[in-house]
Amino acid sequence: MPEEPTGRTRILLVDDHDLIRKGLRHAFERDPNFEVVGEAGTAADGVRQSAALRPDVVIMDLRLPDGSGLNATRELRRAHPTIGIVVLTMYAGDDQLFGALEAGASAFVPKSAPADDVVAAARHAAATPNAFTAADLAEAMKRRLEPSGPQLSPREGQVLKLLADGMSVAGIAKQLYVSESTAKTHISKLYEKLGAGNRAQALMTALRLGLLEAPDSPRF
Amino acid sequence: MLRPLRAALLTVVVVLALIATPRWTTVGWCALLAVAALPGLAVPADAGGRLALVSRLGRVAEVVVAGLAAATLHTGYGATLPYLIVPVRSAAVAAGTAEGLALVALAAATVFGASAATGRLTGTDFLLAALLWLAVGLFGAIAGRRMYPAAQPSSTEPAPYAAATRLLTQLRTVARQLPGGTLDLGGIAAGLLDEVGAAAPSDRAAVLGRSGGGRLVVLAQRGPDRTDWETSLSADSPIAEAWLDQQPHLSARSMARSGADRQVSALVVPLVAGVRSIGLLVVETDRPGAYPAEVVARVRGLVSTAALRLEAALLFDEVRALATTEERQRLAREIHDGVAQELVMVGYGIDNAVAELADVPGSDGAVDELNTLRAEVTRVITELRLSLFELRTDVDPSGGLATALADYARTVGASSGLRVHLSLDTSTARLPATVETELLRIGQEAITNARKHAQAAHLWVTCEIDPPYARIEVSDDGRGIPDEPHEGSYGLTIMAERARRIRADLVIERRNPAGTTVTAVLGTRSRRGNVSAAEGASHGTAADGA
Repeated sequence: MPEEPTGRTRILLVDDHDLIRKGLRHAFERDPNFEVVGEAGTAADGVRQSAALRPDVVIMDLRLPDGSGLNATRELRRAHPTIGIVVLTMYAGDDQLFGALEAGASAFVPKSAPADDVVAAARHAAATPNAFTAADLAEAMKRRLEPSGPQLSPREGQVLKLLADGMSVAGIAKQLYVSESTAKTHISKLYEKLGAGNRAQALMTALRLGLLEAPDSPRF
Repeated sequence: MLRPLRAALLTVVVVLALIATPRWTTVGWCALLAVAALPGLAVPADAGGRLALVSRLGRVAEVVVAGLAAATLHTGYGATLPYLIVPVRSAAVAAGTAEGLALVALAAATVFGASAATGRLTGTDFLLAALLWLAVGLFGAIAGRRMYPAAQPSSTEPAPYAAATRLLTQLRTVARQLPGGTLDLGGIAAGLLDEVGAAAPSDRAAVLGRSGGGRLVVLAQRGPDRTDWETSLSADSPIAEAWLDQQPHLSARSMARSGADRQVSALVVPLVAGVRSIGLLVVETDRPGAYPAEVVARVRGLVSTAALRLEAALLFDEVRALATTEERQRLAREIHDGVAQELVMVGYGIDNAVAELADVPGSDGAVDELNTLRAEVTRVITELRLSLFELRTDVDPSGGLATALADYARTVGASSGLRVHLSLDTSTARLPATVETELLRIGQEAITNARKHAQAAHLWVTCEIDPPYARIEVSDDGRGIPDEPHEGSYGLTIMAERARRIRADLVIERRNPAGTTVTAVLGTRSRRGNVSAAEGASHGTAADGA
């Protein structure tokens, strides 16, 4: 935008539906800071026009007739490191969001959001093309950090820690105020969840899955 | 041998015999030969059962008559002996080289026996002719089936299609008669265990079935306690060996993961359909040497019939899953590219209209209404996005049911403002893929109900998987299902049908103090290691109290 004589943010719309492009064009044209310089209906055309028109921000639909908008996004990011890319999608689910983030998009907007949200995202993308933003980003991050793989019950988690401390079955039973056979049951169930046949295997698997802290990592 | 060819050869032999020795005796023998040839002409070569016996007797009759007639007519060229090739080839093709050779021997015995009996085993001409034709018959018998495929390559080409059509028609008939439209894998496996239980003593038994990723899933099991069966095919165990060499294996070591140090009798019998291993039967008893050879043989017999049933069920499940997944993807594409995009256009249109009206004085009422409309459109689009998500969500081969269900619940919770509480308790062992899919769909449907109808604030999703046991529970604190829900609404019918298909118990009940709980339970939990059971004094001695 600084290099543009008009001082307006130049927008390229990539979506295979005419009326959606038209709706978005109206939304951008209402704002004097924006100027829609082109429209494309396919990913290939979008990439081509981006090279020719040098827009400041590309609004990219995720699903296009000739392929994924994510691939086009990746291609654009490689060719134009400072271009703003706003990814629009119909799909729900964190995979799309993280896909957009990893492909190098600047913003992620679901198609259920009002047109003004798209304009706001374009404004952000023009200013900071390499800082990713999305409405649900923090929550999605939190969801992603939740563990996958075997899920241990709180009791099994305790047992695992005690096993890692090298405690005997009798010791674990005493520590948890349960009978020895109950402790054994917990341990055998823990082994089974981790697909392990003995303590060493169980601890290695637990370390690998992040269920246990590595012994050399700092503890507070 | 083709029937027109038989008739032609019979005619040629008869005509030549009548020309060479025009006597009434010849006519008589020819008539007899024609009668003996009747079964061969009437019954198709590949007939089975009783018809096969008829054609076999026909061939013997043909050989005997041809031999006797040749001996009686005593011509220099062998008279009826050229016809010998017909029954011999027919036997060689239909029943194998051995039977062809037997028929040649029978012919030789008849010809030379009858000639010797009538004292005419003297003429060199007759002897040479007889030996020549018997030699021809001998080669025909030795050639066996080898000449067959080369002889008619073009006419067999549509045969696979015909066979496939026949099988598919049968499949359709079977599918229509089945409860819930599927062959019941678990039921078949449980049936096999019942049969085997009567034939071989066992303290523990299980049927393991193939699943992706070089591991087995427990399809059914018997025993007082739940057993953690060895399910890895990569381990060096009788299970892996039986799977590979398709032979029964006996072991004094337990097939349970935790029982390797105990002295037991374990028998592993592979379930083989065609040339593929599709599963394993494992029976164990704590008494050593409990499976002598005759018991193994008996169990093997039971297993071989069950293997076919199991394979049919596995194939049926696979075909069904494939078709369903494809249809779901297609539906998702259609919604995505069609009505969903059109609604987005409508939404943007309303946004623009609101913007246009912003500067128009006195349009506040209209703007308010448009905003309400926009909120509604946004809600519908969100709804469609979640439907698309549901349609596209499948159980990830590496993640498993709990992960898929948790992801779904989190995503739905995030976009609908529900607080999601997850409680996952799963082992590394997996359920059969079709069971996982059905349970996921039941869970999704229940979560969708909570989101759409219940106006709930909290959603609790519990997932316990301990194959073959599984329990998923979805609770909300909303307004609960009405006393008389519409037929087909809330997906209740579909949930019930899905549960029936995998023989799970589905319970839908009011939750205290508010809301609904949907529970699907598969199998019974008999594990000793159940945390709640273990911490209560449900087993062991009095000292066991926690």
